[in-house]
Amino acid sequence: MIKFRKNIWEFANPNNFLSIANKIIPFFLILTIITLSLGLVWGLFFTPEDYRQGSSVKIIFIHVPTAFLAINIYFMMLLASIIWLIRRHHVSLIAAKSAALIGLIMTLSAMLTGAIWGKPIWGTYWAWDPRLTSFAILLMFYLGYLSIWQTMKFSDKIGDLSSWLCIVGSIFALLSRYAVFFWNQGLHQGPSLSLDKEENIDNAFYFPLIICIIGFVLLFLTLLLIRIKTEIQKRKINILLNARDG
Amino acid sequence: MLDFGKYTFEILISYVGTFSLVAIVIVSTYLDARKVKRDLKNLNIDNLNDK
Amino acid sequence: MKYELLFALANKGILLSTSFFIILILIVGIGFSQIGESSEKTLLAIIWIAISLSSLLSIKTMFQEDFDDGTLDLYILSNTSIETIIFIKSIVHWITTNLPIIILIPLISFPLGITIYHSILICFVMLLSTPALSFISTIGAALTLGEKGGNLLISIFILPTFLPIIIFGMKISLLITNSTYDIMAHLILFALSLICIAITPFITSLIIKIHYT
Repeated sequence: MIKFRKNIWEFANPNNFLSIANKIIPFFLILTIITLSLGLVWGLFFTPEDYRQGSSVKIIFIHVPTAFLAINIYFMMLLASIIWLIRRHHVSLIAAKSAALIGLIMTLSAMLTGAIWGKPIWGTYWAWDPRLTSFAILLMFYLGYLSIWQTMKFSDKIGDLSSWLCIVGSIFALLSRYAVFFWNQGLHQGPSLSLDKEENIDNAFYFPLIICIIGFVLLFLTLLLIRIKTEIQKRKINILLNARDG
Repeated sequence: MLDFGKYTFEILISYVGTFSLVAIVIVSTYLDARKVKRDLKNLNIDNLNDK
Repeated sequence: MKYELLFALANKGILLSTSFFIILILIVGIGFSQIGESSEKTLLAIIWIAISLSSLLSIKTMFQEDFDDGTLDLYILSNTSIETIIFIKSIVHWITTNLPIIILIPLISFPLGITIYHSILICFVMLLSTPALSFISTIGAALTLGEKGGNLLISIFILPTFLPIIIFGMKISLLITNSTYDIMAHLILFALSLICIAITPFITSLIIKIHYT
């Protein structure tokens, strides 16, 4: 299937990347469909009701994976941006660019499902709880990162700018997150709405949840690979067009 | 079959909402990929014609 | 620095940003008075938002003019470090946009319902924190250098990064109006502001150099 290469940086060559991506995309696609449908069907139909939250606990099977991805995609973008700035691999930059939209959608759906879940359990769709606030902050930085790509044409310069924006954004996102946490834990004894998600969870929910997380991660990887491939081909087309038109 | 007691509506709407959001990415990715594929093909044909 | 300051003063940037601030405060105040819920707390929030918006107002011109007429090229070619220039420019920007507003705040907030003692304390908090706003917004100015319609982009990039300072500033102002003090929070806000001042010139200079490679 996939041969292990000596050096991970060989992925950075767009042509190597394309040939590998072409091989593994169908495989990933099938795997995604299997795990996602398995996890969701298991979660939706074959889990018991929570004694405290009733059947609304079933929302966990999409809320937690999307929230998990929303945060980790931003980390991945940060990593890819740093790699681009240091080693100048185009695939890395394109990966950061392609991941941003998926991350935005994941953030939105995590917030949406959270709001729907929050209404019956906490009695409100939205509260300025630290966790929710940090998601709002994350959303703003995703929007900022996407808007730089929306307004400017693809070039190495814009790549540099967007990478710096990503780095600066993550510094300030972390700062704001801790600023919010500082007040709610240290000085201000606010009402704590956030649930302990992983700790008091029962085995009956644990396994389908893990499968759902794996399924969503695979979904992200598949989409990411396809988007990177498309983006590389777009740049190829541009180069060809430029060569033809002179 | 799709009856989860008290919170049926919430569960269904959150599943449908999430997957319609995800569907936006999937569809846009797919359409993009298709368009690029076609462009690349046309371009190659053009190049052949030029020669 | 003297030259920069004189130049900025000659541009009448002060008048623009202060009038923007006053108009914003008055409009929101009038708007709130229609609902009849104008309290000290809402006013505080408005002041913080207005000051962060008005510090973004003139940021676009900070590097753009020098970029257009080639002064920036000269700075980069000569041995003077860009960091120093950015530092001076941000200080001048702070003096010309934020300082007059801070001086205005007691005058404008007194008739609107904040006691004069509280508003002076809030001014002190703003003196600590607003330099950081000026410094952070240079990053946005550097990012959109050479773009035509950069102003909207700057606010999209930069407003979220004001968050830590706005969060702390608002909380401290709230504590002040409740007549409670928290020296710890003041210190953290000041530290945050100093960190921003120390780091942003380097980041901004790196971003500016991208435009010249």
